[in-house]
Amino acid sequence: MIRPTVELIGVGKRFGGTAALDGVDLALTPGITGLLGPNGAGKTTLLRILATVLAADEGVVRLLDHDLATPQDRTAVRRRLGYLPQELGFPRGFSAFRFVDYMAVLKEWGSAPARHAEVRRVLEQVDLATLATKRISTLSGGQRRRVALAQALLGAPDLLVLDEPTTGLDPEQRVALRRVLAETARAATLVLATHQTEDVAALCDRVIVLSGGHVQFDGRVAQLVAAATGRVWLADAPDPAAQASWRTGSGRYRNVGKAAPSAAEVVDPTLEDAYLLLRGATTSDSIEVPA
Amino acid sequence: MTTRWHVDEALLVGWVEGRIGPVFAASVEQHVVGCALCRDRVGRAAVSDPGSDLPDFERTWSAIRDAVEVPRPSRTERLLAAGGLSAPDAMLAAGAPALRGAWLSVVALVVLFAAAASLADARAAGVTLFLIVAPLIPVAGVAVAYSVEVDPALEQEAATPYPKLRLVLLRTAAVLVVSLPLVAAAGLFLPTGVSPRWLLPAAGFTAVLLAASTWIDPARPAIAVALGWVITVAVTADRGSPVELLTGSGVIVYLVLLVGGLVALVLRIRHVGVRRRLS
Repeated sequence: MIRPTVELIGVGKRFGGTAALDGVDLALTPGITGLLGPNGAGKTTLLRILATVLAADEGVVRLLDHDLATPQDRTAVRRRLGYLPQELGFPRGFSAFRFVDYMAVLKEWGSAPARHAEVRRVLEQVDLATLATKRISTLSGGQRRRVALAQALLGAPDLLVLDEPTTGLDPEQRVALRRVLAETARAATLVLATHQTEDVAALCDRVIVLSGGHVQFDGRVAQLVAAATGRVWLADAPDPAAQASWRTGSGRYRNVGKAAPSAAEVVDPTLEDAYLLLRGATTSDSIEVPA
Repeated sequence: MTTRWHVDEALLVGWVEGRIGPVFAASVEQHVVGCALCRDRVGRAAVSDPGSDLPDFERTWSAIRDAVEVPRPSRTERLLAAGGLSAPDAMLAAGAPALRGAWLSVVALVVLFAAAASLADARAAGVTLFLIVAPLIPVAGVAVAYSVEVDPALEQEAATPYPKLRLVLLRTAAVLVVSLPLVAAAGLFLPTGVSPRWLLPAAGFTAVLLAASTWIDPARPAIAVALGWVITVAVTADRGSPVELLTGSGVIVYLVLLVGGLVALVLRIRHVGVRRRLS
């Protein structure tokens, strides 16, 4: 059995009177894990704990065989960590190259020739080589996110924590990014939070759905999608029995609900359908996920 | 076209080194033009041949890109490097948001105002203003060294292995090096007894805040210290002369803060570490 690279046992975090995370248990191995959930579900708090920038109030956090109990443990993890935060900030006046170079120094790259070669490698990986000398303030939102992603990729980390990596990217950039992440995940544990279910469907082996600081689902993407089989159907009008309905490009309505009516035109579910079903499920009628 | 045979190693090396005759050379050249594998071998042979006069394209290209992409070190960075900091440390210290213009402008303006007031008729007001501002400049220096309020990239920086305390100390030192001379110069316009005694509360507050920064974001305690100091100076000035704060029991308080802060800082340095490992 593969030893988990990320292990959380009973992890909790409170901000004032609000529990952002409550009793979270997780064990992740190399590969890509997607983190889904509505705003305020605790995704960013969880990722900040994994990135060692936020300490859990309770429970055990074990990353890459370190317990994070001492500063030396945290430093050892940070040497093998890449982190893309949700809120991006850059020092004023820095070019893309200078910022990634600055972060490379913080990541202990001392020798200038090796450091510059690494900076170029990651900028090329995120397709920013031609914009390396541009000031970050003149770049678009998607390009800035790729600059931040480049610094996360420095040194080919063993643990990559990405908060909404595809926000602001156009479809071509998203596909290119997926290729980079899939390549990186061959030898690393990659955790990404997103609102884009198609990114999770395209990239992730495993998906975790957070809700109100709890893990609502933890399993393979195919398991979650399979749980929605027979619960998605097309109709000429929104079905009042459906949990959610929306008009598609063909003019027909896509309905997701507890069960399709007997004469309905049932279609294959997507991860988005399954996620919506899960989100709509209450404790008493939670969807049953096949093993 | 599929090439089924390849140039013999000795012949290929001989060609790279210019040791074979024109007939063999022409044959090798014709083959190499159409064979990617042998072209690659030529590249390796050229690089491994120290006598080869073929340029090392990789290195040359890197040098060209360095010239285009790597920004020239800023004035502050050069100053810090000249003062003995290593190039990477100077780069990080100069990256402090406080060193990016606005900070120095504010320090210069406030200090000039205090000095001007001292030279004019309002000497007492000038002394009060100077006493309020001068010890707080290092306090602000610590606060802006590592705070999410002023450093937009802090979230990314916090996830790196570079020791946080080392960064705080580097940036605080850099901020003080560039701003304290201005304050000290302005202090020369003040009556004896103010300068250089203002350095005592400045040192005490700075030591306590540096120690506090090993546990928490230094911005909040810095604000608390600043508010407390402003109120203390204002109240003392209202009752008599604020210079009294730099004598008697005041001096003892600052010394206690300084020694206590330094002891706590040294203990924390031993615990959290400030040594960085650069590859």
